[in-house]
Parts: sequence; C-alpha cells; structure tokens
Amino acid sequence: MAVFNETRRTGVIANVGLTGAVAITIVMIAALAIQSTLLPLATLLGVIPQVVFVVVVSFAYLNGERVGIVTGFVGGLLMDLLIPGAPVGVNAMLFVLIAYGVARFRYLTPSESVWTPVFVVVVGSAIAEFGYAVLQIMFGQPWISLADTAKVAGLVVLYNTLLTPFVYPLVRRVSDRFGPGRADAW
Amino acid sequence: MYRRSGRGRFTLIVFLILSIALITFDYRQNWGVLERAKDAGVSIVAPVQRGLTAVFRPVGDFFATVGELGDQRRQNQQLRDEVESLVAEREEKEQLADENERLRDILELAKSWHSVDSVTAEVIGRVPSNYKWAIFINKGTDDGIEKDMPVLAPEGLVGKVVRAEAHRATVLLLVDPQGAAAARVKTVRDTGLITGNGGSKNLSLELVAADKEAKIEVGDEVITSGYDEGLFPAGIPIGEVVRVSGDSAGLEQVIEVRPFVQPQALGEYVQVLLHVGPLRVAKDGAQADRTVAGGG
Repeated sequence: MAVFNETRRTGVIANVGLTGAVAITIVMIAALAIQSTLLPLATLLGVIPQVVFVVVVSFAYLNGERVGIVTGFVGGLLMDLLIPGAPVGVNAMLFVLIAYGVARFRYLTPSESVWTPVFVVVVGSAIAEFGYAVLQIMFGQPWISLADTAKVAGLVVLYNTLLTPFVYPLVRRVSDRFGPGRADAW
Repeated sequence: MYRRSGRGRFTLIVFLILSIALITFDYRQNWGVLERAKDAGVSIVAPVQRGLTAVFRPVGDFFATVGELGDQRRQNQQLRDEVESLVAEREEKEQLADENERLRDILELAKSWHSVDSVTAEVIGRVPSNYKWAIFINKGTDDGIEKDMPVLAPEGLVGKVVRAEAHRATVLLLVDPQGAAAARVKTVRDTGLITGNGGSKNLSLELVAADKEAKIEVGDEVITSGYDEGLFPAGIPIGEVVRVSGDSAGLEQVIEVRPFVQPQALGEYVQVLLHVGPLRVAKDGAQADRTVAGGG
C-alpha cells in the first residue's frame, strides 16, 4: 500500500514529485486513449465505462488529497478538452471534488479491506454521473431524459465496478514504483 | 495507512477556482488559449488512439473472422455471383450518370451530392463520454476538411465536422442532442428540422405548417432538404419514418425517424464531403439560390 508522507516542500508538483507527475500524466493519457478507442468496442448496452474516473479514484484512495485533486483535475480537464460542445472545466471540477471526497473517506475510515476501493468506485461513479447531469443542465446544455441518465449511471457504476479489480492494482503499482520509496514525495 | 496533508483543503480551493475560471472563460468563448488547449488535447491523445486502433483493430477483426469461418465458403460463392451481376449493373449506371450530368448541364440544374469531391477517413476513436455522440477521424485540414462539412457512411448521413486540425478532425453525430439538419420526407414537399435525441434513440423531424393533404407513412425515407441556409446538400439519406404524430390543428407534425446510421454500428471508415451548404446553380445568377433535392 502506498504511503502518503507529509512533506515540507511547497507547490503541488513538489508534493507529487516530478517523476510522479509525469507518471500520472502518462497513466491519464493512456486511460483516456483506451476509454475513447478500445472500450467503445466493448460497451454495455451502448454505455462506455469511465476508466479515467476509476484511475482518478484509485490515485486519490492510494495517495491522499493533494495527489487525488491534481489527478482529478488533469483527468477531468483532458476529458473536457476532447468533448466537443461541452463546457471545459465541468469534468475537471467534478473529478477534483470526488477525488477530495475519496481521500477524506480514506482518511476517516482507514480500512485495509479489498472491498473498500470497490465501494468507493461504486459510490463515486454514481455521484459523478448524476453530478455531471446536474452541471450540464445548469450550464444550459441539451440533455437526455432523467430515465436515460439513471440507466447510463447504473450501467457505468456496474462497468466501473467490474474494471476496478484490473485498474486499481495497476495504479497501486505505479504509486509504489514512483511513490515515497522512489521519489519521497507522494 | 497514510497521513493527511494539512494543505489538502487549500489545494481543493485552488483547483476549484481554476475549474470555475475555465468554465467561465469557455462559456464566454473569449479566450483563444482554450481553443488552442482543445487542439493540444486532441493532439496529445490522437497518436495514442491511432496506435491502439492500429494494434487492436486487426486483433478484433481476426477474432471476428474466426467466429464467422463456417459461413465464409458459402458467402464467398454468393459474393462471386453478386460481383458478376454488379459489374454489368455498374456499366449501365455509369452510362446513365454521364447522361444525367449532360442533361443537368443543359437544364442548368445543380449537381447531386454524389458528384461532390470527398475524402475517406478512418475512425480512430470516440468521445469518451456517455452523453456526447462524436467521433475522431484521421484526416483534417491538410486533406481539405473544414468545419461544418457533412460526413457520410454508405448507409447515409453520419453528422458534421465540428473541429478540424491538420491531420485529424472531430465529427458530431446527427444523433447527438446538439445534432440537427434540414430534412424532409422524400415523398412530400414540406421541409423541417431533424434533431438528435441521444445514442440509441430515434431522431425527431418537426414539420411546421405541414401540408394536410400530404400522406406520410411509416417506412418513408427521410433525406436532407438542402435548405438555403443549411449545411448539407440535398438528397442525402438520413433514415426512415417509424412514427407520425401531430397537433390537433394539423399545423405541426412530429415524425420519429430511425437513422440509417446507428452510432454503435458505425463502421471503421467514413466519407467527408468537401463542400459546405446546399449545391447551387452557378451558371445563371437568377437561379443562384435554387437547390435541387438530388435523389429526392
């Protein structure tokens, strides 16, 4: 399990470490490319799993608030930049909030159970889907019905949950590899 | 176990403010940096998408082929027979097309969209969202592609280009809630606006002040109308009517249309027409605004 160390350095990059920042960025780009290329070929009733979100939640769960917030912002912003016609910053804001919530949950309920990350992904995915719907409506974007949003949210929760046993260990390996043992900055 | 950083809340506030600032700038659409950032975002991810497509598509095709191996021999013979008859049919059609072009020149009619130059592009990815229906293609401005150009599949209209860079472009599908086109039912004269309702749902065609005598039936074909201010040439197939409803006064008809191009069944390649807007008659100024419902 990765350990989040208190550091005296200032600034987010200093806190994450340059190697860690590069690793996060590469993982995010790879996750985004997989989500937009391979996973649309294996949809569940037409719904694409949100692997970028699972990566963000895993980083936040394993490495704490600051790493989670930065990861959430980078992942959300990359998604926003790729979605035509949608306001830039909505996913970034949503992922930042959820990453913070996940890290706080981890801090308040330090469980070593293998089911806890899965639980966090389930709850986080549901909040992300409905939160995105609410924000889109607030920003005046055309929206599909509530019933469709509920259907999409349910399938995303299910698909993200199925992906977690594969994604979470990979993120943990990246965290361990570039984490405190190597960079002393996570 | 990890210990909590005391600066977490401060970082949260900083990044929330940053996110809200981005939303505000994007909403006002007055910050060119964001447009460049969008280009950069696509540029960063596109090479990885292209690589993944190149690696995994043959693997997927291989497994699909293995699964269909039993039918291959029978299909092969069937296709050989079809090719023979199609070759003869093509020769006849080429003669008719030549004759058609000559007659159009004589009558000063606009050309059909079939005669417009086009570029074939590979689909390299889809937008990573469940609420937006758009695809990325591997051709861009260097190949003559520009914003708003129509994108087609063999079955009909796919959507339009919403962003074009040198070697890639983003295509908004017609089924997206922001997708729209001027359209009409092939058998009647009234035109209207067809709009998307999201992924697996049918399209909605609204005909305002529709002709009460006009008889629209389930199964009728819907095509682009080539409206003067529209983006698409006339006559491109869109879908077929599955339901017709209207108000009591009969002033407005709402028609449910099943698109010929289903997003989940979209193939690996699409065709981009290198033309924006209806095809107009260029020879005679008096007829410059006249459009022809080619094929309709």
